[in-house]
Amino acid sequence: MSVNMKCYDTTPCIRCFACMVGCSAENRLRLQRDERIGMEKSVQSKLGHQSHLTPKRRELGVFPDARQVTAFHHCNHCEKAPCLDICPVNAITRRTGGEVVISQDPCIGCSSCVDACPFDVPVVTDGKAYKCHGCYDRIENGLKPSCVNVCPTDAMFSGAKEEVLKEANKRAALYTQTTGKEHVVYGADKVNNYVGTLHWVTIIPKEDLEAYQLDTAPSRPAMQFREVAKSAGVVGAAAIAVGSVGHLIYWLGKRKEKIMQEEQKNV
Amino acid sequence: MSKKITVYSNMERWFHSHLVHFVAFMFISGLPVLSHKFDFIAYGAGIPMAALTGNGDILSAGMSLMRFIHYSSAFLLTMMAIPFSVMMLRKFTKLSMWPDKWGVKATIDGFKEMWKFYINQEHVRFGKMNAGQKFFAQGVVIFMIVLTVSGYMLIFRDAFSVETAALARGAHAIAFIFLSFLLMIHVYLATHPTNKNSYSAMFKTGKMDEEFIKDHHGIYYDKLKKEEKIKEDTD
Repeated sequence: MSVNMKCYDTTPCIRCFACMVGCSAENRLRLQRDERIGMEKSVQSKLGHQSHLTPKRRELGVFPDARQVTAFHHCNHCEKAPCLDICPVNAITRRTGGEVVISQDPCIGCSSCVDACPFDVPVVTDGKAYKCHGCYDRIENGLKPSCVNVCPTDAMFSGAKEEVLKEANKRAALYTQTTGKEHVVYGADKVNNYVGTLHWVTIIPKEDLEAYQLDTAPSRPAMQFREVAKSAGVVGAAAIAVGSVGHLIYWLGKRKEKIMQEEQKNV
Repeated sequence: MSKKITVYSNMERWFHSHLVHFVAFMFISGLPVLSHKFDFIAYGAGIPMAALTGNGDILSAGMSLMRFIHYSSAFLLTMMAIPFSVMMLRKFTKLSMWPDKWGVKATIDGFKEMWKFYINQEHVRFGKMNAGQKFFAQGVVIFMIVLTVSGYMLIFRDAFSVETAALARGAHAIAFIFLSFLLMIHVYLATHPTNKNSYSAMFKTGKMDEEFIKDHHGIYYDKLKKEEKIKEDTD
């Protein structure tokens, strides 16, 4: 199975939020399918942790030049997923299609993934962590992810990584040419060393990256220092162990020498 | 027979003895969360746990037990540390961990004395603690405070932002790693043949021979004499 990619194109998006409704409905239906929740409750409950694609609205600028921007908050299924690396119980795995998936059964709700994610994606509810699973099971059965499936304007599309990147780059070039504003495919190239490339890319004017909260340097410095300290810990512990054994051997030898010298003196 | 002098109070010995247990529990239970290299600990605990609880995932069951041990030990250690800290704070300025002489030169001289003792095996006059022990004690206090504060922040993480909680997680791990270095050196030197008198005093009687103190801890002996504590055996 080839590696999959999802792309969100901000230009044709009409802010109908069908993708978000589709995501929520899909996950509610999953709960019903798995007999974890009744129909009535699944419809009436907010189930925020089951909505993996959420709007983040913010207002930019000052009246009369103010504008409202709705950024899409979602898991980017990072190439070097920090959540996957830090999970102590291996509850987070990568599917063959590249989707980073949390399995709730082994999850112990330690929030390590929450702390490691530079995009603030995982949420812990009732002792379990949740985030977008990329509809991996739909994809593995030949279907599109639910958010892509319901998009009426092709603002969201998915498929094999090469095909999606080809289409995304083509669209970005077209928008750059027609609008005069440089458009980029955020996440197609390595974002930084902490996350690598992304499996959910976004076509956006370069000048709007910040407005749409697409971080060009996503990081969690404390977590990165933690990793450095872990490596230093191995080296340090080995050095102390070797140093201690070395000192003890040296000390015993020297002591024996001193005792022999004293005995010779006494003789 | 040489007179015995009390060098560690009952409270100090009680706290240290139990500190060893709790630190060992917290050390072992924290390692699998820190790194996958220590997953074997969680697997070891997880096999009986999974069988008892019916949790199918061995690593998950083991890690849950490790977290329970970690939290319980942390709570008990905190409770135990309160009276000890109060006692230490009451004589804060007189604690042995402070240098007898301040300054860079005095510190370097202190380490030179240690070199003479541990490497050249020369006779040296130490205080109750040598320079290394003073640094160790200061380091332990600092790292224990960082571990305690960051640990409780992680337990009550809902009261903080994600960034702050991440900072606490990072600080917790880094402080633990540095504390581990100190503890490894401490355990080695505490069990070293040259320190068997101190080891016995800490874990058995709390007392040392007056002659031994006079010979190995000359500065401390002079101090005790000056404070007239050498005349009688006091607890």
